[in-house]
Amino acid sequence: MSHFTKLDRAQITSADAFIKACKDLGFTEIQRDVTIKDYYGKSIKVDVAVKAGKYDIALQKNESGKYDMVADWWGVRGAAPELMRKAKINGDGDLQDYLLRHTTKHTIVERYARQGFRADVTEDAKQNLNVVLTRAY
Amino acid sequence: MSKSIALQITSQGGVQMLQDDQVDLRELGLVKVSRASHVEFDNEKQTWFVQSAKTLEVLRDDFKTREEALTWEKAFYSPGGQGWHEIEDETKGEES
Repeated sequence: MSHFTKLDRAQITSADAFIKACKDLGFTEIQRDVTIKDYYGKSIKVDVAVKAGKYDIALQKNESGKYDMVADWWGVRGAAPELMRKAKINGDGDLQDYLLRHTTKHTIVERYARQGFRADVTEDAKQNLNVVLTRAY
Repeated sequence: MSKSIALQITSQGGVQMLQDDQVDLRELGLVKVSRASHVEFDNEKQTWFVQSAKTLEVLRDDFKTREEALTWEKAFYSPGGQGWHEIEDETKGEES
């Protein structure tokens, strides 16, 4: 009677949730609607820029109205080794995965808090985030 | 009284849960839905039973009411429940 529902990789729908995920990691210098330089020195306009050492992690809105994460990932990882170690991030892919799962966590928690759900979030040994939404009725 | 919905955000940024209409994952991307189990009535035993859709194993067959079977089934197939590995096994199967 029951069904499993699965989403292979969540898309980023909330800039606020992304900012909270960056704060979870320890990045605090954040700007909205700014122009930054990309890897080649070209100026690009972004919706959010988070300073990670001398590099930026940015969010750009795509054609579907959702967001893409853009960064010089190698540079970002090298710029904040302490934070990466603390968050058990070992590679560029790990960093993007960390930001995506924590962005998704904040998106879901905020979305369902508006409907009266309280969220309890725990992290397991595999770094999965287990979320329980509870609402009194 | 309270209602609880459990879901898991995977380490790679995916999301998986036992389907619940109050949480619409389509807001976050394309979802895949697959059957986890069957809840049926046993005409001989006059009880309700829960059967795995994947292995067809009858998991428990002594429920007096359908509601009891549905409640047990939900706990069994939610994150942390004994049947949760079936969704994780499916994911591994797709990756290989």
